[in-house]
Amino acid sequence: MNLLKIAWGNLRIRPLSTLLSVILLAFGVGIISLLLLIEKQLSEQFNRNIRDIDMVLGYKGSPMQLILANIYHVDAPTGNIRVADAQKIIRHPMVKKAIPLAYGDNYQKFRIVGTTFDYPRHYNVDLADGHSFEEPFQVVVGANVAAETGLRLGDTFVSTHGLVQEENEEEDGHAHDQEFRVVGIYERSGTAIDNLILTPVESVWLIHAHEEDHSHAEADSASHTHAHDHTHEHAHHHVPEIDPMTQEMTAYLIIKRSAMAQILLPNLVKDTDMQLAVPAIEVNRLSQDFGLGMDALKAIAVLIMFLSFVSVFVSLYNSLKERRYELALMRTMGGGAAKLFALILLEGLLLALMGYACGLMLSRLGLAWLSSQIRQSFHYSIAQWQPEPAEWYVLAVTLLVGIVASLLPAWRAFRMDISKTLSDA
Amino acid sequence: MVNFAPMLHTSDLSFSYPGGKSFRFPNLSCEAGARLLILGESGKGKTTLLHLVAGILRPHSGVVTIAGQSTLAMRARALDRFRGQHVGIVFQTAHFVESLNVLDNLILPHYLTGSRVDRAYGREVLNRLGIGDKANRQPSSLSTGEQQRVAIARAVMNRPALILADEPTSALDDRHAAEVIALLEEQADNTGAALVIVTHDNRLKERYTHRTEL
Repeated sequence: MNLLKIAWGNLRIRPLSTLLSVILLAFGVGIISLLLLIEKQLSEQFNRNIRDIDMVLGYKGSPMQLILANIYHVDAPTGNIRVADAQKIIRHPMVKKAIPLAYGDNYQKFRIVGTTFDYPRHYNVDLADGHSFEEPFQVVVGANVAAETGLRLGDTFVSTHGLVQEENEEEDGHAHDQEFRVVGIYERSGTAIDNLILTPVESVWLIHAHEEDHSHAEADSASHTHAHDHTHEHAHHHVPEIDPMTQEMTAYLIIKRSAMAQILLPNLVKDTDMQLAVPAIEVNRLSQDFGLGMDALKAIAVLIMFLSFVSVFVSLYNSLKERRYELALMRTMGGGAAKLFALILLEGLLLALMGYACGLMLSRLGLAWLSSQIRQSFHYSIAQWQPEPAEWYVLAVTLLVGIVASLLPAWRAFRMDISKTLSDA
Repeated sequence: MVNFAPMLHTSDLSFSYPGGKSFRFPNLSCEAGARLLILGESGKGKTTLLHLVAGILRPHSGVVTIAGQSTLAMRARALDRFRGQHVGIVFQTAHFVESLNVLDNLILPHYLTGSRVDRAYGREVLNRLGIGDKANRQPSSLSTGEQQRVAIARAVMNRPALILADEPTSALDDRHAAEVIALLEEQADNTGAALVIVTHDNRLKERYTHRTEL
């Protein structure tokens, strides 16, 4: 026998009002904690992928789009720039390193990106298996790609034209006849590389050159399926030399050597069809836009928390009215006023704790669901089950809601006129 | 324990409700193991007197002594505990903590006074009252008669020096009234407690020689 048992019993014999309070608290806590998790996951994803990349050089257009396409690989690229044009930036003394990215086709919706070793090295992504790409049409696939497509070392595949396979193209897609061979698989890194298929830049150039040869045949029918002859699997062994200066690139990720680069370099692209976008600025803008939506949701969460506060209060207050006699009785049996005060407070705390626990579960389920949605369209995972430090503050606030809401009912129990209560019954 | 002073003694008790009735009560005295019947019509302040004796109300003047201790000198918390330990109260209608089962309601006085919780004793008392099989039921599922028995059982859980009964029979027919009175006396004898019954029920008048009329 203890106060907890009595408090728990009192909540249990009023299941409806208890349920209402717990549900409201759970939704308030759930939304707040979900927002915290999303914010944390997104900012982690954002920052992990920016990693010291100061600027992105690409075709002009929306700088945001350039960043999204080339750092996060979620949006369509703005276009291609000529390698020859890019030289004045990437060879500039203020530029420490420029990592080339050439968008190719896709394989089962995973983007094939032509680049150099610098790209995985910059993100410290190591090989889990195999070796790095060395020749055209060799690819190293990201961890998610390997997991979802089932590609393994030594497998070959044919890419599909475009960045993302269209839904109706899935079976009779417009496929190239050039086969890619998997020579390595990257470790999971939590960066965009998890979802990419990396290959030497030349692979993309060669495919495009090939594309142009066929362009007349393909012009009138986008969904036309080619009957390819697969007689020469190792076509890349006899590929002609390509002059890079005649080729195009989707973007360069630029790491600057001096702070002045940020000020001087943009001038160099002013009158060209190129632009330099700064990831930090775009992400900041994105988070601000995102922040507005978050703020609205936060306001809703706070409103729900307030409603749950009212609910806990009304629930305990009504319960107190029904139980006046019971409480007076406990006084006559030796229970001190302080004990009754503690009892009501405990009931408020129990409600708060239950609401908090249910809210945390809700937020995890919500995040897992969101994550599965995001995975389908962006191949990003944001699921998280472990507690978030900020959630301790949410716990503190929830308990405070429970305590404050039960304070007045508890005070009334403390001050109760036992004699009058017993006589009135 | 040898105690020559009466178990219950009051003198010069008076009380007035704010803006309402004033009462002056006759002095009461009851030995350990004895019975005292306080008779009075409605409005004579029976319940007020009972509350004054139990320390639920504080009188404007007068003294209440239970088991040799003046209760009015005690601080609120001490008085609550003293009442829980030494005074068992039986109300006209039985009330319980609805969220607890019968046995838990019985041991509630142990818990609330901070004494050792003795579930075995609770079962023993239930058995003595012939409702041992109801220990795990909810109080509200019992019949009125059974509830009254549990209420009496609860009043003696702490082996009180004084049992106060407020109109224990007035709502009952003759047979049940006799049963309840017998039960109260039996429990009082078991613990050697003084039994004070406050009532307007004239059926009890013949039964007790030690009477006070308000």
